[in-house]
Amino acid sequence: MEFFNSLFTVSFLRNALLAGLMASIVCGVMGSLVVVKRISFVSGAIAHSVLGGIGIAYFLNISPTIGTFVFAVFAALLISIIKQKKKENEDTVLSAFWAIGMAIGIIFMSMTPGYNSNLMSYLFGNILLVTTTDLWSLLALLFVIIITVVVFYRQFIAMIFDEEFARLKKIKVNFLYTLLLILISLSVVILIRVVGIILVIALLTLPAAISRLFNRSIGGMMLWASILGLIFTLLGLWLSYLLNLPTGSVIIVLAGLTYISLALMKSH
Amino acid sequence: MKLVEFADVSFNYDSSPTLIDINFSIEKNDFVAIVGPNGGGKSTLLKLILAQLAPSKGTITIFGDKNYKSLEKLGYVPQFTTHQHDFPLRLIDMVLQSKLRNNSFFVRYSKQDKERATEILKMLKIGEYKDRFLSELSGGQRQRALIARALIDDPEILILDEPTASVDISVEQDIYDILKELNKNITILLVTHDVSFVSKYVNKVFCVNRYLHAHKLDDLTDNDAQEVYNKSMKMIKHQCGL
Repeated sequence: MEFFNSLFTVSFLRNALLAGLMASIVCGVMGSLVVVKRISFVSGAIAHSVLGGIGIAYFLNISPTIGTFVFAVFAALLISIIKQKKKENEDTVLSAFWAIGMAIGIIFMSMTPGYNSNLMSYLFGNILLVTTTDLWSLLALLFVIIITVVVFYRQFIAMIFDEEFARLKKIKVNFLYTLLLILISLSVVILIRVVGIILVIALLTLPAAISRLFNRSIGGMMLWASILGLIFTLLGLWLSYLLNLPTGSVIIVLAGLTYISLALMKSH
Repeated sequence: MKLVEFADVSFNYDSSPTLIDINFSIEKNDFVAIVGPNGGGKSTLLKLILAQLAPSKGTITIFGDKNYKSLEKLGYVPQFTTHQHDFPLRLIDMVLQSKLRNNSFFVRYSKQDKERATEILKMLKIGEYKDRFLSELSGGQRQRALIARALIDDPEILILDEPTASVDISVEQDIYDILKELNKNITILLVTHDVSFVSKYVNKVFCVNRYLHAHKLDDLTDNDAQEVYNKSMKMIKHQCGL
């Protein structure tokens, strides 16, 4: 009980709760699109490449959120362009993004004094360090994501289901794919505050993948993935508080174990 | 009236030609089967008609227009094998996707569109499944769903890529019967592997194997001696490299 009281009275716990709530909505909406479009790996590449942005931001002494934002959007645009050219093997290009981004991040962080604790916090997240300013920028990003998905919902689904047919109907498939990746990169910016770069893909895809096991419609998937995301975040906060463990990792272990056990149960 | 006309069309993806000197025309109410070996250029031919590829040489005239780019009057039915069978989408919503355009924002479809979709699903005998999800449909029902999606835009030409590739023989029969019925109003062009099976339905067979040989079946009727029929089939198969 003490923990639940503190959630509303202690400011860093309250901020953590609000950040978790926003992350859950993002997980629900964007995660469902990522899962049905089967682009977890693309999302992983975007997420990991932003370490480069964070490293540069530290080096230049500007807000790491700006660094994340710029790198995430930049990666999304480049990946989309490369996909449209289709000359190279997409997997290889994505792996390169994944690695180069992280390497740039490490290089710049090593050139900045006192980088160690920050690096850990960005790799594994620290939801307890979310500030009120962070919350406002997260809210703005969430707003942009929701509005865009609502406006383009049918077109997104058509593009995801059957790209070739959508193209014949003059739907701007390339534009939509780029837009989807940009929305993913915005989601990554939000989710990194909660669970960190390494775990962001898990939080984006696991609740949606669990939700897919029990929902036949995309709307249902989005709703239940959001609810599941919130449950995992709250449970994770509580357990990590009780046991004095890193919150992001606890959240992911909970979500991951739930997914694997349910998927196994369902396949029997 | 010629709906589609190819004049000396060639196409190559890289240095080796995929299609060479293709000449044919499709008239109103034709029912055409495109047959040929894998990699012979059947899909490329469809892509050229659908303006997804531009010819390297020659001209393609569609509805009398050399620069025909608006594809609304061309209904396209892809193979279902390219889709996720358990995609979380209701049958009716999948069919209505055909009504989307690049300026379709927000979520609503009009009442007329929904009524038209229901009507078409009924005609294809899958009306009762309209609120089911794709994962709950059989292979034959899914294939009809894709045909419904193409029909809702009232196309003048219906183009199908192996519509019976993943269904059993009785469903195949059903689908061809539906197509035969549709053919009263719509020109149909389909890619298939099974030339003997479709010969009962179609009036033209195009053999595509880099070159295109067109065969008219109009003069082959049920009354023809089996021998004559078998002989023509044998010739067509031979020319098609089947």
